[in-house]
Amino acid sequence: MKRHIEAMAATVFGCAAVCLLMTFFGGARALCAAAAVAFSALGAFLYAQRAFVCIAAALCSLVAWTLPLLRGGAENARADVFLLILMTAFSMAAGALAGDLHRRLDEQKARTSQQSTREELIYNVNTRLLSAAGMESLMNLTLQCIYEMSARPSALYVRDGRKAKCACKYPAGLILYPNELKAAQRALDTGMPTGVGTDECAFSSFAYTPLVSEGGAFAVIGVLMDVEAPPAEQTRKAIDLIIKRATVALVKQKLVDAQQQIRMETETERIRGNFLRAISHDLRSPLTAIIGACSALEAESVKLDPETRAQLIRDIEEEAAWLLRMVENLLSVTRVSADGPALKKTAEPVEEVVGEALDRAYKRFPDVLLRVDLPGELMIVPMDPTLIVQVLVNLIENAVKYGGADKNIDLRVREEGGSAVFIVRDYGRGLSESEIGSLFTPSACKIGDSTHGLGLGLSICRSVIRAHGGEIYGGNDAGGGAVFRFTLPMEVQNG
Amino acid sequence: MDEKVSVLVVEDEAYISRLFDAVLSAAGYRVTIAGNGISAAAILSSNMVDLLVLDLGLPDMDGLEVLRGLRAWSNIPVIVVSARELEKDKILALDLGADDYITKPFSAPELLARMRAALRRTASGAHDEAYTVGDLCVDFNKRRVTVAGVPVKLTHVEYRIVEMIARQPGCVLTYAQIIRGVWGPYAPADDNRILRVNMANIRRKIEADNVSPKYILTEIGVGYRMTGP
Repeated sequence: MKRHIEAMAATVFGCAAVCLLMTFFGGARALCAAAAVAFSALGAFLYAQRAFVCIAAALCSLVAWTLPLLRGGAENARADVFLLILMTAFSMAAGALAGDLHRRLDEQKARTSQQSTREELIYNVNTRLLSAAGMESLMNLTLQCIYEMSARPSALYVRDGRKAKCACKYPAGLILYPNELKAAQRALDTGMPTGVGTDECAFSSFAYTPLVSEGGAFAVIGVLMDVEAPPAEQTRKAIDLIIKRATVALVKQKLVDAQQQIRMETETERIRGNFLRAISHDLRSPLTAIIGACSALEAESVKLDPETRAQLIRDIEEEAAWLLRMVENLLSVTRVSADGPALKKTAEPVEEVVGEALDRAYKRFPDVLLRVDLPGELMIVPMDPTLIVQVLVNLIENAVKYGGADKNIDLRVREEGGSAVFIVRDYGRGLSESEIGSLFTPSACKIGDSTHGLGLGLSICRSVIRAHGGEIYGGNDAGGGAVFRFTLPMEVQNG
Repeated sequence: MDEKVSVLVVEDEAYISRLFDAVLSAAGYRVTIAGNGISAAAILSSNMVDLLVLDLGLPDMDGLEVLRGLRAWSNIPVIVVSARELEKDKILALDLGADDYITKPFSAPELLARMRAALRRTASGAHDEAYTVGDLCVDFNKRRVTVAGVPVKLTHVEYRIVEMIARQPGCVLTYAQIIRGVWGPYAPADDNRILRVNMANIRRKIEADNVSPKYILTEIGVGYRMTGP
């Protein structure tokens, strides 16, 4: 609007100026001159819509009109009219040309700025793709960039075995018809584009571009096309560029993921190796005792009195019982391991679980001095009862071994803040700093005396407790002796 | 006439079947060993077997299949032998009609006690007047429970539970079996909380120490057992 007013003003000004000049030189010619100027200015206005162009056109007419004057005389009126028409035409042409040139300049400027906006966007896209973490966010980001660049929704397909599977789409609400999968599959299989703009899968509304790396196509991106309005060359190029960049980023991410997987597997192997070493070491000593005792009992050359015989038989039984508990501990590890089935919890009364643990403890250590303190009202906690009984038996056995078989062992259960808290405390020598530091890490026979490995049982306890969603702690009680406590989350009771 | 009770032991591992043979023979049973399910089924159908000791981990047939086949026509007592961690199998076997279970490794006295309890069940059936163990007496006719002569006030449901367990002393009953027996076949058996709560109340009434009960024992993960006489 502003421009139009500018143009009009310039035209009027031009006409007025010329009229004024013309009056100095002669009558009706001034009017014709003004008319010519007005026409050329109008012409320029219609083409260029630029004020200065109109002024230029007006000036051209002025020049055209002063020329004959310079030549002199008003003799040839016809020649003058002819000249008038010629010069008017010339002015209009000049105006139009100037306008056209200007328009082209404008277009060029617009294109350049569009170009630089696009380049900025692509640079942006590149930076974002490089910094994206993880396969999923990378895929999402790629499709998002395509959308920002072209305002077109897209979907990304990956390999699932031999089939194509849609891994990502942007916007998330995009609806994919089932036969689109066929076109995507085709692109994945052949490694060539399909869909809109190709000869393959003409039924599709998407243009599919495969992402190709060394092993062939590993993914396909399909961009929804609008048949009525196909994308501009620039947009198409931009999408292609994004897809190329995304291919590089995705390949890199896959390598990173694979490397991470290898690292994890190596670590798992290392832990498993340590574990097996610890177990083998721990199995050896009870077996030594059993085999030794049996050979002594069998050998006719070895004369044993009845009491010694009885003791050897008791030793065999005790060592075997220890081996059995070791086996049970290991089996419980398989029950809580990550790749096994998930832990199955049932609602168990605490008193029953504690009762069972006590029963087993008394069987192993008939003279143990266990003091039990449970809440008066019934406490029901979701858990795998066999595993928790095992944890309790492990803790009681540790308390007997390290606290002393002749001292008290306290077993308390409380409810604290939505968790059931189990506490086993002995009155022995307590734990040293280094022992507390490595309590729950599996290792063979940390304490190098005749008692069996402390570490293995406790690390299994921790696995079991953590699989229940609880935590286990070990330390020294302020009043002396070692104390172990573990928590189990309790269900929130409704109604 | 041979008065010995005939026991068929189905066990594939030689060491363990030798052990069964030694222990059961010494206890006065006539022992036959079968190494797999097929020969076991043959022996069961052709000979007079009074009790079956069945290992669940058989090489050829699933031990449960042998049990299922047997229960279709016979009511002889069955004790299943299983590895400790397979609770599901134990419960399944008990629901299929096994009378009791023993876990490997087992203690000989415990095995013998459970066998005696299982044989007693078939002998007495549901005709007992009462069951007594220690200071506990459950009178089925009068529907009364006393501890050291003192009557215990039990709710209707609590009495039903005690009665059911007391009618099969020494044998284990699964949570599901007790729930079905007390609350009927349509009671939901997957949440046994109601039974556990009732049992906690029963113990508080009849046991001196509800954590270490003397009369009604907990079979963790499986069910309950009334102490044998």
